Amino acid sequence: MALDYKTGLSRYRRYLQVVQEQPLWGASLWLVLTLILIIIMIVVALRPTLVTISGLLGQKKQLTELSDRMDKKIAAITEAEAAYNNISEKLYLLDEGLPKGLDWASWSDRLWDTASQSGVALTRLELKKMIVAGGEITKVKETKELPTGVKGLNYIVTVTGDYNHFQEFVAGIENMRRINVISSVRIQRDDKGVPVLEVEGIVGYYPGNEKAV
Amino acid sequence: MAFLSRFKLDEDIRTLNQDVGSKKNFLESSSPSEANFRQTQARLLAVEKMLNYQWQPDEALLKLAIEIPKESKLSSLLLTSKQVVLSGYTVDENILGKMMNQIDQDEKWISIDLTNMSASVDKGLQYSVILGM
Repeated sequence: MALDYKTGLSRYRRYLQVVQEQPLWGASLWLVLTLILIIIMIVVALRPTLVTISGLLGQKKQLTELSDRMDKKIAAITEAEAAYNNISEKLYLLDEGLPKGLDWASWSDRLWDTASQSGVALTRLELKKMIVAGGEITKVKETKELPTGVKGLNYIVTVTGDYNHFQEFVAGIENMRRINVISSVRIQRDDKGVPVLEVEGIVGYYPGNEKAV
Repeated sequence: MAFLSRFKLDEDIRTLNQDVGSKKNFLESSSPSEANFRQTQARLLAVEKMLNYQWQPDEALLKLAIEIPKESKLSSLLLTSKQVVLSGYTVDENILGKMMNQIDQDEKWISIDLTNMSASVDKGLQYSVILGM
């Protein structure tokens, strides 16, 4: 095998010597080699530029996508702004229904008004958990009856009166602008036989970005 | 050609960067409004859910006022979103039968359980009923 290899190589060398001696073949060989060299040099020279161009193309694609996403977001904000402006006159109802703060004083005032308008006597209002203004904050937890983000003040209100007025009072609590979630309604007689209504409920508020306490 | 392409790409990227920068400034200036929209939207959704939680106990009280005969006296009533537990007494069983019949005809109550019934000399016929909603 080694002999065959050497024989083949010497035959090829002789062939090149013969070709070199012929002017036309010799010139062609040099032309081919020159072209190969030029191509190699062009590739080497252009390579950094080509790499940069591909990087710039990627960067352009990313920026175009980012710009498109921003366009969509700007369109959504513009649309939301228009919708917000349409309802802005009615937003005070939202502030009354679900305020950002507990605002329990105005709620309890409305409760007293509701009681007097219904013809019942409010005898007791128990607030289970509440925030003391200027003092240490008592924990007010989100409850199962309230949606996520809404905190509630649990209360029990006790009134005396008759059945029809009890019904009016419960309807009054339900129809208050400040949204109340009634958990239970209990009617019974006290020791003296006077009908007593006990309504247990939750009044909510939406603290927004405030951390849950 | 390659060099010319590179110059064009540089110009395109410069324009895009300016465009993105101006949009970014707009979005940053709109972020308080955006936060307000989001909070308002969340509050509106919360209000909708809370209103859906309401189960109209006043309606149940009104129905019971109609369905419980005047001859029957209520001793206690407990109303929750799922059921009504009422106890009372009446002078005879015909009135109780009439009351049960009226309650039975009302589609609001999905179940009716007469859980306790006893007779005493001073109060008459005492009963307890659980109505499912």
